[in-house]
Amino acid sequence: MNLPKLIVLFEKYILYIGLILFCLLINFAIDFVPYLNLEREIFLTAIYIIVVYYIAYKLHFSAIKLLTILTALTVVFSLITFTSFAEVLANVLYFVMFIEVIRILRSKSDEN
Amino acid sequence: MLQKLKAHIIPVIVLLVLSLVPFLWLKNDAVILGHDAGTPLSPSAHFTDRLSVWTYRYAGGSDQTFALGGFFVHGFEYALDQLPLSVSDQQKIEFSIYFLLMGLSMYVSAQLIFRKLEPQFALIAAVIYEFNHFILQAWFIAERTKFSVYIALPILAALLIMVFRKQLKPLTAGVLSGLIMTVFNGGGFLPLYASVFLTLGVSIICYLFFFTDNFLNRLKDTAIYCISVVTVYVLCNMFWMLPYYWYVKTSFSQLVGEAGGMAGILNWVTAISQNTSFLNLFRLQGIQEWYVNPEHPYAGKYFSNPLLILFSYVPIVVIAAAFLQLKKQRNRIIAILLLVLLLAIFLMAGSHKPFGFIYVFLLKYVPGFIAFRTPYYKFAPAFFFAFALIASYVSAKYLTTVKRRSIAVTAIVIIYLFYNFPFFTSNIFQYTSERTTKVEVPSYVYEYADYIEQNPDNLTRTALFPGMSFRDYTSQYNWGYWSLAPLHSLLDNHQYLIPQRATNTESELVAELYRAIALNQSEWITIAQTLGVDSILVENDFNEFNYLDASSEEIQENFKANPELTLIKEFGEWQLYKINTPKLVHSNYLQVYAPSTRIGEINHISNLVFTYLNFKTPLMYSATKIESQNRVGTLVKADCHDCQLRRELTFLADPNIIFVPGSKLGYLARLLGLDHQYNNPTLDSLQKLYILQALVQRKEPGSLRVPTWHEYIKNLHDYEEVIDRELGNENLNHTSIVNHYSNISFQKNGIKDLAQFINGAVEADLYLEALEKMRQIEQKILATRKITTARNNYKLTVVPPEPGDYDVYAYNRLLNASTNRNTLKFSMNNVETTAQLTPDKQWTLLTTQSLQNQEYTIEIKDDTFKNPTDVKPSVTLGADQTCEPILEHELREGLYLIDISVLSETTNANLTLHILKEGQPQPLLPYWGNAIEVLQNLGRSSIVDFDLPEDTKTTFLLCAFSLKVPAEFKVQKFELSRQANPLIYLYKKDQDQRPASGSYEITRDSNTQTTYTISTNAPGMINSLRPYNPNWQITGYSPDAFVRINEGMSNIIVPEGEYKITEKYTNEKYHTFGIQVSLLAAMLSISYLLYQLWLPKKK
Repeated sequence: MNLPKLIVLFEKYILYIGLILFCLLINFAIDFVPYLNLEREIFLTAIYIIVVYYIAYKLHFSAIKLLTILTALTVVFSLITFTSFAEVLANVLYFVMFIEVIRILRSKSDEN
Repeated sequence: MLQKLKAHIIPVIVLLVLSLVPFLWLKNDAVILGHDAGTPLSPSAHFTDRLSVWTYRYAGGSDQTFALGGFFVHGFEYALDQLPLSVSDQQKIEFSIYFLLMGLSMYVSAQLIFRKLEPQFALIAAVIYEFNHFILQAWFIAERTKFSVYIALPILAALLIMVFRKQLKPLTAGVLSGLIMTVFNGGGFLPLYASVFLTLGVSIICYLFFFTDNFLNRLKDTAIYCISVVTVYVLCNMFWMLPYYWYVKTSFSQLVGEAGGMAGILNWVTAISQNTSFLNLFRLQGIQEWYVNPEHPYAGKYFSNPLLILFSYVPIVVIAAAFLQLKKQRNRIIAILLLVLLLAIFLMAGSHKPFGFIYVFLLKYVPGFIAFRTPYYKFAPAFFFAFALIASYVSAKYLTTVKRRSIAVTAIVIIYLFYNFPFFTSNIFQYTSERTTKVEVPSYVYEYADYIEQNPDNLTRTALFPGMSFRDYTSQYNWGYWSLAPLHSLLDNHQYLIPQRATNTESELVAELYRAIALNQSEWITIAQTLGVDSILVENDFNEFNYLDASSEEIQENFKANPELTLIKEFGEWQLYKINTPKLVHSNYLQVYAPSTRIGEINHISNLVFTYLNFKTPLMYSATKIESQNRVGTLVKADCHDCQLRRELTFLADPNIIFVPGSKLGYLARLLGLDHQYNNPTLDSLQKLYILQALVQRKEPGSLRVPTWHEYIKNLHDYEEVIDRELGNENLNHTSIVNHYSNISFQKNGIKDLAQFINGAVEADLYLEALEKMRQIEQKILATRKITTARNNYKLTVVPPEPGDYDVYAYNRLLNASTNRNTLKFSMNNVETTAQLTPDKQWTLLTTQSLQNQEYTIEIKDDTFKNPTDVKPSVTLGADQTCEPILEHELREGLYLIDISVLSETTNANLTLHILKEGQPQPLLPYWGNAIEVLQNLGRSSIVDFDLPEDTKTTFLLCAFSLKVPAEFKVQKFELSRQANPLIYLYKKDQDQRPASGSYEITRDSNTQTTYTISTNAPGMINSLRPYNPNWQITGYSPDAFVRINEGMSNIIVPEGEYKITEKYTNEKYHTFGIQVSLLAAMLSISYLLYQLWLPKKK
C-alpha cells in the first residue's frame, strides 16, 4: 500500500479517527474538569455510547455487528488487564444490549 | 407418549447422578454445621420447637413468630430424622434432594418454555442452574431457604409463560403457583423472593406492552393470575403471617429492618457491592467473599489460572450470541429473558459505580426496598435462571446442523462442570485456614442431647460454662464448631444462660455471674438464683475456655469442692452440675433506681452491695417503685446530664438531597423550586453548613460562597431566637438543650475546618460573624445551671424517692483524681467539701446526709486526662496494606472519646478506626469499624466513643477498604479524652434483711404455657425465667402481677400460701387460627387443581 492510498484511506476515516482521539482526550481531560470528575464513569459511558452509535450509523453497522465488536473489545481489554477501560466498555455494552433488547421487544416477533 | 418419555431418561439419569455430590462432601459421619448454616443436630426437637410461637432456645426465651415460615424446610428435616439414619446420612439425602430438585425444576421449565427444545439442551440449562458460583457460595452454609426459592423460580416462570401462550388458564396457573410458593417459601423470608418478583414482574410487563393480541384480554389474564397467586399464597401462609401481624402490632421489640439505621445499611451495601462491576457480573463473578477473604477455598484459582480466566469470558460471548440469534429469528421469550438478565445485572451491581447511586436512591426512598440490602445475593437467582435458559437456547441453535449433537452436548456439560471443579474437588466448607462448616460431632454431644431431652432431673435453666466466648461472643469448640449462634440452639430445646454482650442490666448481671464464678466469689450462687439458674454445664472442649485466668481444671475443682453443687452426670468432655438450693421466692430485695448506663457498672454495684453494704439479696433494677413491703434498702443513682453532652455525639443529618449552588443541577433545582427550605432553624443552618462544605470541596470560587454565608448567618439568628424561647420556658427540656449545644458545637467545628479556604475580606468577615454568633448561642446555653464547660467538672442531679438518711458513695476508679492526688473536691447543693479517696478500694463513702424528696445537685471537680503524645503522624494505606496501627496505649477502664481528623492530599476515602483491646485479633473485614470519612484536602473531624470495662493495653488501628491505589493519610488531630462519667450512688437502708421464706417449681406444659407450683409463708416475688413480654398472661390473676425487672426479665408478685398458677402466651391463638385457615385454603386449592385435571378427561 503506497502513501497516496494511505492518505485517501486516512481522509475517508478521518471522522472516526477524530472521534476516537476525542474520546481519548475526554478520558484525560475529565480529571481536570470540576463537576465531572465525580461522575467520571457515567460521563465516559454516555460519551462512548453516543460515539459508538454515531460510528455505527455512519458505517452502516447493524446493531448486532456493533454488539459483537463491543463484546470482543471488552473481552480483549479485560484479558490484557486494561481493567478500568474494559469496565467502561462493559458498561457501554450493557446499555447497547439494553437498547437493543427493547427494540427487539417492540418489533414484530417471528415466534412467541 | 412413551417415545417422548424415553427421550428424557438419559438427561434425568444424568441429573440424578450429579445430585449425589453431597455424598462426596460428607464422609466419616461429617455434617455441615456452624457459621450461618443453622442445620440442626436434633432435627426432630428443632422442628417440634418451631411449632410454637415462643421458644426457649435463645436469650432465655423469645418470640419466634418470624421463624414459623420455616415449617417446610424444617419439616423435611424432621421427616428424614424419622429414618434410622445418622444426622450425616440425613444431610446427604436432604442435600441431594435439593440438588435434584434444582436441576429437575430447570429441566422441566426449559422444556415448557422452549417447546421444541431437545431434552439434551434442557440438560445444559439444568446443569448451569444447578452448578454455578452463586449456588456454590450458598452451599458452604447449606442455605436451604435460598435453595427453596431457587427451586420454585423456574417452574413459576414456566407457568406464567404458559399463560401467555394460552396453554394454561390464568386461574389454574395462579393457584398452582401460589401452592408452589407456599411449599418452597424461603422459610417465610420475603426478601428471598426478590428474583421471583423481578422475573415474573418483567415478564408480565413485557406481556402487557409488547405482545400483539387483544390488550384487554392480556390485562384480564394478568389480573386473574396475579390475584389468584397472591390470594392462594396469603391464605396458605396464614399459619405464620397471622401471628406475625400480631407480633409486629403488639411487640415492643425493634424490627430487624430498622437495626443499624440507614447509614449502617448503606455501609453494608457499599461493602457488598465493591466488586460487582458489570464486567464481573457478565463473567458470572462478583461475589464479595471471593475478594475480601484471602483464605477463600477456591476463589484464588479463578483469579490466577489462565484457562479459568479465559473460560470466564464465555458467558459474555453466549449473551452476545443470543443477540445474533435474535437477528436471525425474533423470539420474544428470549428477548424477555435477556431483559430479565440485564435488569438482574443492574440490581446485582447494587451501589457499585457508576450507576450504583440509583440503587442507593431506591434504598433510601422506595418503601420496603430496604429489605434488598444484599443486592447480589437477592437478584442472582433471576440472573442465573435467565442465563441458563439463554445458554441452552444458544447452544441448541448453533448445534442444529451438527450431526452428533449428543456428543457435543456431553462435551459442553463436561467442560462446564470442569470449570465448576470446586463442587467436586475442593473443600468448599473450609472458609478460613482454621474454620470449616464441615465438622465431625463427638458422640457425647448427641448423648447429652438425648439426656436433656428426657430431663430426668427436672432442670429448668442451665448456665453454660462457657457456651460462648467471653472475648467475642462466638460459640466455638475444639472439634470444629464455630458460629455466632450457640451450639445448644441447634442441639436441644432446653433453656440456657450463656455469656452475652452487656446491653442491659440483665445481661450485666449475667456477666457478673460469670465473673464471680471465675473468681470463685461466694456470691455467685445468689446471682445464679436471681437469674433462675438451677444447673451448670461445664464444657471443657470449648476453645478459649480460660476466663479471667481461671482454667477449666480450676473451675472444675472449685465446683467439686462447693457444697452447694452436685455433679449429676459426665458426658465425655462435658460435666453437668446441679445447684442444691431450690428456686426461692424472693421475700426481700434491694431496689435500684435507674438502670446501668455503662458496661461493667453492675459489677461495680454488686461490689458495693456485697462487700460494702454486706447484703446477700437480689438486686431489682427499676425506674419505678415496686409496690412491695419486702424492700430492704434503696440505691439511687445520681444522673450526670452533661456527661452525655461531653460526648458530642448528637449529629443531625439532612434527610434531603442538597443541590449545591453553582452546579448545573443546582441551577435547575432552584429553577424548579427543589432547593428545599425547612423553616426549621436547626436543619436550615445545618443544610447551609453542608452546602458550604460542598462548595469548598468542589473548588468553587469564593464569590459563589458569599450568598450562602449570608443565608447561613440569617439561619443562625433564627436559631438564636429558638434557643431564647426554650431557655425562657420554665419547664426547660434538658435533653433538647443538650442537643442544641451538640448541634452548635458540631457546626462550629465544621466551620472552623473551612477557615483555611476563606478567600477575600468579605468572606472572612462573614466567617467571623458566623463564629461570633455561634459563640453567643453557646454562652447562652452554658449559662443554664445544669451545664458546665470545664472538661472535668461534672454536674449531677439526684431526686431521692423518699426522705431519709442517705450515704453518698463514689466509684473511685472512674475518677481521674484517683490516679493523682487521691483527694476529690465535690459540692452538694453548693456546699463544697473535699473527700479523701481510698484508691485501694473500689468505693469511697463521700458523705452521709439527711435528704428530702427533691432535686439535689452534686458537682464534682475531677482532674484532667492526659492525651497520649505518641500518635503516628501519618500512615500509608492501600491495596495490600489495609490496616495500620496509629497508637498503642495502656488505658484505664472507662468511657473514652476520640476526636480524630485524617487528611489525604491525593484521594477521597472511607476509612475505619478499630479499637482493639489487648489480645483481640485484627478485624476479619476492614469495614467492620467506626467510619472515618476522608475528603481530599479537607480535614473533617470524626468523633468515636468506646467503652473499656477493664484496664487494658489498647491499639488504635486505621483501615481502608476501597482503595485501589495506596495513599498517605495524615493524622491531623487525635484527641483522646476520658469521659469520667462519675458513678455516684446514694444508699438508704429500709429494714433488716429477712431470710427467704418459700420455694417454687416450674413446669413447662408447652412452649407457650407454664405452671408454677408455689409454697411460701410470706408474700414475695418469683422469677418467671423469661424476658418480660406483655403477651404472657395469667388467667384469673391480677394483671399487675407481672413486674418487669432489670430492664428485661419478668417477675411475678405472689401472695403467701400453697397453690398453682398457670400463664399462657396469648399470641399462640393467632397461630392456631392461622393454621386452620392455611389448611382450609390448601385443601380448596388442591381440590380445584384436581378438578381441573379431571375436567378435560370428562369432556
